[in-house]
Amino acid sequence: MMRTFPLMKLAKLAFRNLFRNKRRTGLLLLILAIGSSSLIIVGGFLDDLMVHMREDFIHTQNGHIQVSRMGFVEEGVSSPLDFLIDDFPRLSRLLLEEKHVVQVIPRLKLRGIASAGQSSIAVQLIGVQPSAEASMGEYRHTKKSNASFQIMDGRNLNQDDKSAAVVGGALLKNLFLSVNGSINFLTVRQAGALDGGDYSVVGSFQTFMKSFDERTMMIPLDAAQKILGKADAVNSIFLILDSTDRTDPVLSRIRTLLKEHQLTYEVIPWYQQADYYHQCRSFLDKIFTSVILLMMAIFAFTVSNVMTLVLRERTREFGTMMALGNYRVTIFGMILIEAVFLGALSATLGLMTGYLLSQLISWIGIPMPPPPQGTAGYEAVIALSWPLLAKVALLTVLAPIVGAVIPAIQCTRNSIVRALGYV
Amino acid sequence: MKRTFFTMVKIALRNVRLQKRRSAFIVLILMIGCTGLLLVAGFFEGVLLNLREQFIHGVTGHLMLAKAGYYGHGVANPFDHLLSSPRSLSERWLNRPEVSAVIPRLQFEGLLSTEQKASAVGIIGVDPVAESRMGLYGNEKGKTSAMKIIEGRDLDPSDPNGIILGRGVSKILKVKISDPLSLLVTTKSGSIDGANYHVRGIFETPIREFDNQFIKINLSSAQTVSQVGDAVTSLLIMLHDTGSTRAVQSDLVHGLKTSSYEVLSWEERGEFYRNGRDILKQINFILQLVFASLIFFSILSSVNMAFFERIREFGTMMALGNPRIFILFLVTMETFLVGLIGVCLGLGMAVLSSLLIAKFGFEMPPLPGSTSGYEAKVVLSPLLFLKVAGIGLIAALLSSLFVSLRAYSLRIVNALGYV
Repeated sequence: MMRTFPLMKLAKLAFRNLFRNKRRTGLLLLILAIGSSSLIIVGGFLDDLMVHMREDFIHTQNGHIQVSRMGFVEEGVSSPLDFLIDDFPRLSRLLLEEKHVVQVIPRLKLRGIASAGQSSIAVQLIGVQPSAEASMGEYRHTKKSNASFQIMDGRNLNQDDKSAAVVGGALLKNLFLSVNGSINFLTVRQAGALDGGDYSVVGSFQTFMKSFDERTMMIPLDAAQKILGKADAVNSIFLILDSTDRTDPVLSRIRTLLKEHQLTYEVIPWYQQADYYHQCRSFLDKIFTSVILLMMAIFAFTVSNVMTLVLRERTREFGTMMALGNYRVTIFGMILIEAVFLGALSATLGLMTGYLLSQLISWIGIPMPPPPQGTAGYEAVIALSWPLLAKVALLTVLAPIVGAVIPAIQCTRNSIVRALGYV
Repeated sequence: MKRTFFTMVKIALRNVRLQKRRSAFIVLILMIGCTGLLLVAGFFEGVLLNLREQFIHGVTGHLMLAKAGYYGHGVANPFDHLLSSPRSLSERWLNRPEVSAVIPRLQFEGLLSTEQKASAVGIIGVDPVAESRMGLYGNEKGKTSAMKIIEGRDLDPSDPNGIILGRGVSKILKVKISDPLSLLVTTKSGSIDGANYHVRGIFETPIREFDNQFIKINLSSAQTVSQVGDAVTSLLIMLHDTGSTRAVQSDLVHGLKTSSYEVLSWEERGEFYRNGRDILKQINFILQLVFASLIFFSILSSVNMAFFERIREFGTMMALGNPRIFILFLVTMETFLVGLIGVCLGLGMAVLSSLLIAKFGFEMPPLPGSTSGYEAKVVLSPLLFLKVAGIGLIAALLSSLFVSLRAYSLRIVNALGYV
């Protein structure tokens, strides 16, 4: 004679048990589903914040990949003129041929003195290609997000500008200038000769860093190259890719490509540049992990307690089963199998509600203030990723199983007589 | 009437005791929910508090006193905005119990050069002794600073010719510790003057633009080279308690002639801090919203389940002649009582766990804009308690109302026969 139930039979029994007391199962399912969908929403929301911060950083500061002369990143500040890329047009054509590269953005940085009237200030001048910059900053993570470089007054540079400049708002104020004024820039050229030019201020900009705004002006790339007397020279080239996930493969392909053409350039991905980004990230990461951990702990605690309450109610049922000759192990196994079914069911339900709710919330949008390095608010969404969904699903399946173990042991340890008389 | 009220409360209390499991369930949900809500909110409160203090003690000070217009236009023309006798100014106005330190600073522009290279830099003349007092706050271990010495040593009054350079500046000039440097500045009178220094240390801040641009020297050396006598461009004022900032500020504004001076608080100078604060507050709000709806739905579902189990009970009560309004009141009362217990337990548990967290500590990485990590704290305040208790009780009452309205419309015959 069989001592214990065969597994299939036990599973069938457990499955039927689930539908026997619909209210009890419904309550557990609801709790699990509500818990797991809120975990998904919170997790997705925090993930989205991180993604937004990353994309914002890439699209306003560094591009995905930076190409420059060997040693520019470490030594470049000292003498940008020693690290000029002389043949930008050719290099640009080469890089644009690479798959997934969407944009090639040249920059030329010079250090010098900006002056207007009586006052003069040491500044950095950045030569930019207006059309390229515009499309770089144009990135929108969500419907209403904004670039972290903002024109406060006047307009941005455009393609037809020859000797126009946009100047940091704070710098403009310090020079007692206003838009439409004229600004002079003076720098020391390689040979030691002084050179520079006069520019009309067409706009002022603001970034999140006052210290940057106080000391930065931007002019068209051609005008900056004219100061140097080198038509095709730039310091660095930023590449924008169609997706941040492709950074690494594209990076290694570009490195081999340059090697094939016997060109020695430094090719650096965004994540090696981003000190500030990393600091923000590790800080927020810690907060978010703590919050998620706390929520998971609460979730697991609630589930295990509810399981205890529900199983206690069934003490008499288990007593009856034992009185009929069933082994304690059988009952224990049945409870666990029930928990597995429950977990699987509620994980499905929870993931579905979580998914639908996050679509709804994303559609509505969550208004957010600007990120620490930004100047404009944006609308956050719930970013769902497979790892997040898998994590929550696993937790939802495991929580009732783990939660059932202790009460199941307690239930099956009861003496039969006591269990039968339990109210 | 009064008697009936007490009778109803008594019955409600007995019902709570009778239905131990059901009550326990709501108590549990509320307890856990409130604990979670409090811990999250308190944790964010702690982070915000720390962000504020680190920002004040590392960057802005509580208040900045300067000549009117310095904050807006001073960088280009520092010598037009000098505080000519800072000592008498601070003795006259800043000799008050709230003030813990007064930190003088003199900032101007100059050209720093070696034999081969030169670079325009911002020069900040600081009093090293006073600066070191700025970073201290509370009785926390260590001090906070936005500046880290990565090579060599910090400034010292006994070494008047020593200067410290931003990391970028040291790269630009290609200098190492103890290399000689000369500094050229346009003095207050418009003439050009210079002096020789040596590199004493190299510092790094989280803002790279700053490191590429700034050097620090002893205040007295800065005053000598720019020939400003004992004048400074600004005084940073540190207070014992951040809460008194506004009071001290308005006192100073009223006392000093505002047309010639400006007094700016950390709040007014902290664009960066404001951004950080706003985003954390928004995250906190969203999390609280999720927690609150989590509590609400959990209670609603359990009260709703309980309703079906009690339909016969309600039917019997109505059959015995109790008015429907009595049942409505009874259900609400029961949920309220149970909710109250749950909320109280939740508050207690939150206090316990915050103590536990404080005991074991909880290392946080450095805040953006700072160089040193700190230990996170869960900061609980009576206001927060009230808010969370309110959320919990309202969630309980709302869900009970929902259910008791259903009970209100039961038909006696159907209810009695319900299984």
